[in-house]
Amino acid sequence: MTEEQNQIPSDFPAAHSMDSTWFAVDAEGNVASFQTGEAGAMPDQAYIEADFSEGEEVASFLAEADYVVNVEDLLVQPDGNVYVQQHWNTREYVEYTVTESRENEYGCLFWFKDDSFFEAELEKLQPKWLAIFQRLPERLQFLRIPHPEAILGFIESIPSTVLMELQREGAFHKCWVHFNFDPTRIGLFGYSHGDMFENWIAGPYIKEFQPKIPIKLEQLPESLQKTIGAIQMKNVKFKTDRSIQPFEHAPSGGWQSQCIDSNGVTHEVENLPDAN
Amino acid sequence: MFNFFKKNLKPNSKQGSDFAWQMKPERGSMADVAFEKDFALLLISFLDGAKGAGEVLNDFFEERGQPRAVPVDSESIMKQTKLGNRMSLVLDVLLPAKFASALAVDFSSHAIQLSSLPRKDSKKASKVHEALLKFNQQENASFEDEKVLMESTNKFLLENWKSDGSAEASAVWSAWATVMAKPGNAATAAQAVSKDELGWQVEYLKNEVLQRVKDE
Repeated sequence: MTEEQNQIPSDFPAAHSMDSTWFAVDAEGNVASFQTGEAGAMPDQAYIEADFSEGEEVASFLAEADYVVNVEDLLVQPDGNVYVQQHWNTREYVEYTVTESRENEYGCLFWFKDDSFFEAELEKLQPKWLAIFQRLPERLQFLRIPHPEAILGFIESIPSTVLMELQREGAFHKCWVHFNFDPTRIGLFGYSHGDMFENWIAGPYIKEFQPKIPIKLEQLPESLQKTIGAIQMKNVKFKTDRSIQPFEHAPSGGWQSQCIDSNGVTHEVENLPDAN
Repeated sequence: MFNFFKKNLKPNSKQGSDFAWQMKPERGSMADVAFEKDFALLLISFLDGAKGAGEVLNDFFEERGQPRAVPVDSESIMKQTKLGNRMSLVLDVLLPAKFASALAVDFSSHAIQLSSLPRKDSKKASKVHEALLKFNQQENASFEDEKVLMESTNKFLLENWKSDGSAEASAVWSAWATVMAKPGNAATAAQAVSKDELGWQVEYLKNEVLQRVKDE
């Protein structure tokens, strides 16, 4: 067992009170993330320390992974506008008007025109950018999202007035606020605990996202290969499996006392044999 | 796909008079499914539980450059002593996915028809059945398109399901498993509708495979 795994408790308080994300690898070496919701079960040895919906996590992940973030659908028609995603699990974006009445905008992805905002030495910045940069709260900075062609930056939060000024000065080709890095953007398949089972029983997870080019376990940063690879579902193929019940693949637990297997049969969780 | 009710199943007298099954025409791609005679016979031997049939099937696959798909470790062999488990393996692993999926549609449809659902609520039964067929008729859909239909079908089917272990619930779950592309689970859930269902499924599957043996 790795040091990281040793640090993971056998019981998961996070799963009892809030959504958690865990990871698994299938028979083909593909990687999937699983959102527990309130009631989804989670393998005892699952890795839960990452949440790749956060830009910061994605930036650090991509800096080490052998994978190019999939944002090709975004890098079109550079019009200097700000956009927002219509719904968390679709890829439709609509124009968004930034106003001063909102103090901050959160989770902003920028397609910059140049890499000024990643300049480590502030004195090298153009004066107008320096003025803007200095108005950012100290702990905040633009994180570079590696990409072979586009200059992409992510910031956790930005004052609305600063974003408006950046737009006015034409600093970016496009910007997306409240940006959600769905799993497919970094090559992960994505499953969520089925809505119809939420808050009463641990049912199967349903596939929500399917990447065009899946990332393989061996492409992950070395630090994650062992932890994420701890759950190997050797009878599963994420490409074709639309639903997965973790109890059938690994010793698992959760908040609910009952679960439903893939045949629709209800079981008491405490009576389940360990999966293999 | 297989219009089973005309060939294999007598009309169910318990069925509501206004319950109209609307089987759709066979999908184009399914007309192309054909099996080598040796494969068909080996598959049937395996289903029948013939000793060593799994190994021979593996040799058959290997000769054609395919993976040895039948697990032959001792635990798997033990599982394969049960006909239901062999059936699931055939559907989930040994048959082409689209063919297995079409079989699952028929198994689920059969289970719905046998359950009390058509008598209790014929409109609901028809809708479940239609949802099943509609989903299965998608051809070369992108994941995004498939997802939209999957979400609505999924929601609809599960809204008509109860966790009471009834035949009606098993039939609806079977339909749900079909939509989830889990033909083995669809067959297993359908088997809970009647003690004779597994036997019916096996004969049905054999018949459909044999009908698609290539002329040599």
